[in-house]
Amino acid sequence: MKFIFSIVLFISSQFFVITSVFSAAADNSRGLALEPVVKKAATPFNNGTYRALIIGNNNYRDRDGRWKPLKTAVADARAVKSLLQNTYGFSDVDILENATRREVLKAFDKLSQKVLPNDNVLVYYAGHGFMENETQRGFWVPVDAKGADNTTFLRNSTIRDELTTIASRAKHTLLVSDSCFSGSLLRRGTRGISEVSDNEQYYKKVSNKKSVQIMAAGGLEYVDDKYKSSDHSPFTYFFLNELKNNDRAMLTMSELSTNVEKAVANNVDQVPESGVLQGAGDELGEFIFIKMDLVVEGVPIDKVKVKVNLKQGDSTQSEQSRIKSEPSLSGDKNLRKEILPIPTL
Amino acid sequence: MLNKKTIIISLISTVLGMQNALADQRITLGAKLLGAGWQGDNGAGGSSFNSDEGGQVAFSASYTENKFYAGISLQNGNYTFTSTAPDQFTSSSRNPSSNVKIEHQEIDLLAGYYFWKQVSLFVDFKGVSNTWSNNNYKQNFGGLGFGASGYLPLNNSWTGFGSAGFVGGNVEDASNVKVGDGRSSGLEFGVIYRLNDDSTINMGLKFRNYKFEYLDNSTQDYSINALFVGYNHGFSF
Repeated sequence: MKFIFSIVLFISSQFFVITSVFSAAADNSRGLALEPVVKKAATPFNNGTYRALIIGNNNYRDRDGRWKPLKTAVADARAVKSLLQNTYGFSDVDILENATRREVLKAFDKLSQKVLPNDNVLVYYAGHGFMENETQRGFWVPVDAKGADNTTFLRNSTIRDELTTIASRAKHTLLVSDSCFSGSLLRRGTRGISEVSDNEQYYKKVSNKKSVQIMAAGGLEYVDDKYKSSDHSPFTYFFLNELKNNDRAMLTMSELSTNVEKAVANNVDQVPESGVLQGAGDELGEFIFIKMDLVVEGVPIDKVKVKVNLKQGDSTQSEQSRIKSEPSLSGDKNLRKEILPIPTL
Repeated sequence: MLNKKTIIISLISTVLGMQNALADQRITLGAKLLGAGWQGDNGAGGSSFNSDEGGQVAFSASYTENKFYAGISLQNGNYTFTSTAPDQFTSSSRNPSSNVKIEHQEIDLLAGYYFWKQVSLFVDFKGVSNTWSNNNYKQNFGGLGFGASGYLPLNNSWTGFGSAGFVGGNVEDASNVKVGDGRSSGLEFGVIYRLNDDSTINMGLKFRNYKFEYLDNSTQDYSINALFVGYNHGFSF
């Protein structure tokens, strides 16, 4: 008994020591620090997790032949996943390839249950889109869509509802939609692009404000499936290109969308659009991409983490109150997230 | 006492019946190491005892769907008594024992529901089996228990948790002959550290108390208390 008791005590004490050391290190520095720890993005202004749900649909099964298979959507999704994980520190990424309507809804539901108050959530969709001319209603088309039966599609209103649920919990939410008529997601409200800035105060300001943003591959128009000899659509090609070639540590969605829109419009007959999801609580904040592929000599890239810390007291009042209130945000959603030990008598 | 098969079938059918397309469903697997001590009293005419070495390992599997959960936990361990050990009771006599190792096994089949945001009530069909190594005397205790469990998020990484409840049932020997009545109570609390979205480790204290009243009106009262560390991994689908 004493032997096992000693082992349990030893493991417990070592665990507390290790977590205390990491906590202390995180609290006492300011500025940029590189250290050999597991890679995970965090902005200097909030400690939320970067999560993504990525959907790519190639293999359409429509017997009527209305929805032809696509060539690049799955490759687009895989490339986006890889880039977000490896270069931008997204630590929780789910990818759906050739997703049915039910699978998409389940994935949205799962994501909304995981999201915590400071999180940054990106949803990417590549696949067919559809718009009813009479009603101007837009849809995503899942791989199990049947002909013109729009009850087998995913309505924009459903997508907005799912995003609104996620956005009600997350700090920043961004939908990137690479499909025909994806601009119809924006019909309920757009806004001008924010001014690009390198000023830290600017990033802090937009990071502390909630954002619910959308990037769409086109307006109310058809968009191309393949760009030249690449394995990607024009929109995703330039979306990936801008993120890959970005040389700044922090890049806002507005900065990214400005560059992507220009690049796409300059090269193909297609004009991407961006804006906010109206009615979902957007406070003119910004989704911020944090670039992670910085080199630390002698440390493997997958072990490098960028930590940018503010001294205690630098956080805003609203940030402090949000941190304090987090433990009490423990309704049904949190209940589902907890991995609890089974209670026994 | 409820029929064992009825309870198991009820648990399984409840689990299967509650599946629905868009609900949150998860299977959680867990392992736990308990460093424990077994001490108590053999009642009037008997003597007190205290284990010199002891511990248990536990493995669990549970299914969670929204506010509902069901699961199974299996525990096994050994306790060594170099001097006085718990007496062995039969339907007609009490036999003292000492300098013996006792194998202790537990099985819990349980189902619970979060009636409040962070507090659940659960039923636990519990079986406890103790086997004395010197003469293979075996004593079983089992019955239906009721408990409450809860948790409290402390911050993004740490969560406090606890549970308490009681079990009532029969004490039987190896031949399933009733030798007495028993009741037990359990209290557990600790903290959980979240490693990532799917994995947690937990540590804390577990107290269990057993009170047995045998057919000859003699009693036995003991506690098995433990410090534990455990690991849980959830698989969402």
